[in-house]
Amino acid sequence: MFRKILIANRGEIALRVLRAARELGVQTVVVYSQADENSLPVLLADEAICIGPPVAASSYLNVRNILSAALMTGAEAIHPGYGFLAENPEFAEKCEEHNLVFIGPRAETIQRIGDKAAARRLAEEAGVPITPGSDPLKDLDAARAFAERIGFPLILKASAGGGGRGMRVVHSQHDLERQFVNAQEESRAAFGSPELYMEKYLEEPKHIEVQVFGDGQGEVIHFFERDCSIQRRYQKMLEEAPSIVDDDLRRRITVAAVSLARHIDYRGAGTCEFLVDRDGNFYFSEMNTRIQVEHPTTEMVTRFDLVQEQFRVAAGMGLSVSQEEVTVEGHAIEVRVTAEDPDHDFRPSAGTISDVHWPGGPGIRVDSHVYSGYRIPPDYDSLIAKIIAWAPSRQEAIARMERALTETVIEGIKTTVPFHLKVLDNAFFRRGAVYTNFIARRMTP
Amino acid sequence: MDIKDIKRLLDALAASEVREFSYETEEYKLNVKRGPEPVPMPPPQAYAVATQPGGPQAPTAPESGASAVSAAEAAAAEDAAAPPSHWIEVTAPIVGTFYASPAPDAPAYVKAGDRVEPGTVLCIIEAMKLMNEIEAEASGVVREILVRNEEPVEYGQVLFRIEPG
Repeated sequence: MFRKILIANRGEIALRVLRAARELGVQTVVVYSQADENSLPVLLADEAICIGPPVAASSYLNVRNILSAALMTGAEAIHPGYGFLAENPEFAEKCEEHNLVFIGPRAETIQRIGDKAAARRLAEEAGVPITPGSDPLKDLDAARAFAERIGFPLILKASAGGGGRGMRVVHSQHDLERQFVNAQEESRAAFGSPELYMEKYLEEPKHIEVQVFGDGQGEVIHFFERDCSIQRRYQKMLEEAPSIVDDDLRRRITVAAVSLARHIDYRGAGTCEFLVDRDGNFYFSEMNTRIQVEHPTTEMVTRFDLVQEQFRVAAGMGLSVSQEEVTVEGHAIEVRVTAEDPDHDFRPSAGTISDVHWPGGPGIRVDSHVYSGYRIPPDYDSLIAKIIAWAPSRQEAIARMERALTETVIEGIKTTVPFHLKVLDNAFFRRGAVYTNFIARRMTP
Repeated sequence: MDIKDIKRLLDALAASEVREFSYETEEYKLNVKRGPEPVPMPPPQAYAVATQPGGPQAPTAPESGASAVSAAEAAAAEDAAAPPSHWIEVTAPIVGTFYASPAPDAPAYVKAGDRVEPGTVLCIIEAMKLMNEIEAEASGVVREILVRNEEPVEYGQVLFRIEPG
């Protein structure tokens, strides 16, 4: 095991990594920006080095200062957390160049699987289903032929596009004929090219992701799946483990995730994300090559410490667990408490937390870097805490989370706690009818 | 109006969107002004100024309201031995190892009492095997050197104090 590691992140994940290290007897160096001088991970670290001004580009993304800090303090490895440099192949490569272990996959893996088109190809090679998509469509006849083969609904997309423009959902041949030329013109106006392609459109999919772990020497296991369908503008807000799917689908989706990770000889913690339709078909969407924000839900139901597992694999000690030893017990729900005002379109609510009281009692875990008197810097994302509830069943986990959130007191700023209470109380949520459009469809007045 | 009234007034204003408030009677005049929101975190060193990594320092007196306040607080909090407020602090623009001289057996670039001009090399900070010369931005006399040779320095750490002139 390492003697000393450097944590190249901030906030709750820096604290999470620090806690994992301390339990393993590993010393910690935390690097921080001037805005985080009084943050909990900085105060708790064995050593702390200021690496720049508040703006992330000059501090948490400042590769040179971070590597200098690691070399100066004699750290052997760098944990990048999530965000910032966690999925930056150049950073991973620079670490190795300076004989520092990057706690994550190989740079080359991050590069390959990070490219959307390449990731789709790799998934296909591994026999993992991807959403059926067409080549560029040269005319309406080509579009008709593709629709005939794949079936509706389909979505027309601009080859040069992005950001939702030039996209049309079509439900029938008649629809397609009507929309094709419009979409072409919209694409030409917006992106300078009328070229379109089509993909299978999933109505009301679930977002289900599989936690995988590889030792980098061919062995890959999974820690089952999470349901992260509750999202607002593609930002996850509440996650659950396990998901509400039948055992057959659970088996097929975990096998697919492991096949993909094995195909690229994956090292460390990773997540394969899938969209699942109402008929139980699932399609690979992307792979995240880092520890995820919502990893505690998996930890609560499997009782393994995924961050410590990352350390072990990075230190060349291999996985501490075999697939047979990973089982799921009970149900876990995580809510992301952010400094946003749900009554005013989730606008950021930076400021000083005058008083905070976290929930406790059976089955509750709180991962948070804030404390009474903590000032939330306006420079970074608004996540201030993750509250996780575990209970023997989903129903009990919901009740426990409601109980925990009503105990929670955060004064001085607005948070998403009241919003989460409404989600937990929603009848569709309670019976598990949760799809990626849940917030737009069920929570918008 | 007594202290309780003022406190109640401030509480009421804090709960509202009001940013500026004036109230005048024959006896007194009250002006309340709130800072911009969200208020940025004042830098730990009131005089530390961020510059390009590897580039020279540009120490300036604080100008914005926020840093002026923290400068005042910092000054009040420090003991009587605080350096004169017009001295310029040269801070580390990068993380690395501080070298006072160009080579182990060479004399230091500067010592206390030396006069420096803009562009005078004050020290080297080694980062990633690269030697970065740190230059003076203004002319003056070096009054304090706060780091020992070969000591690691972090971003924003005060290296020198210079009396301008």
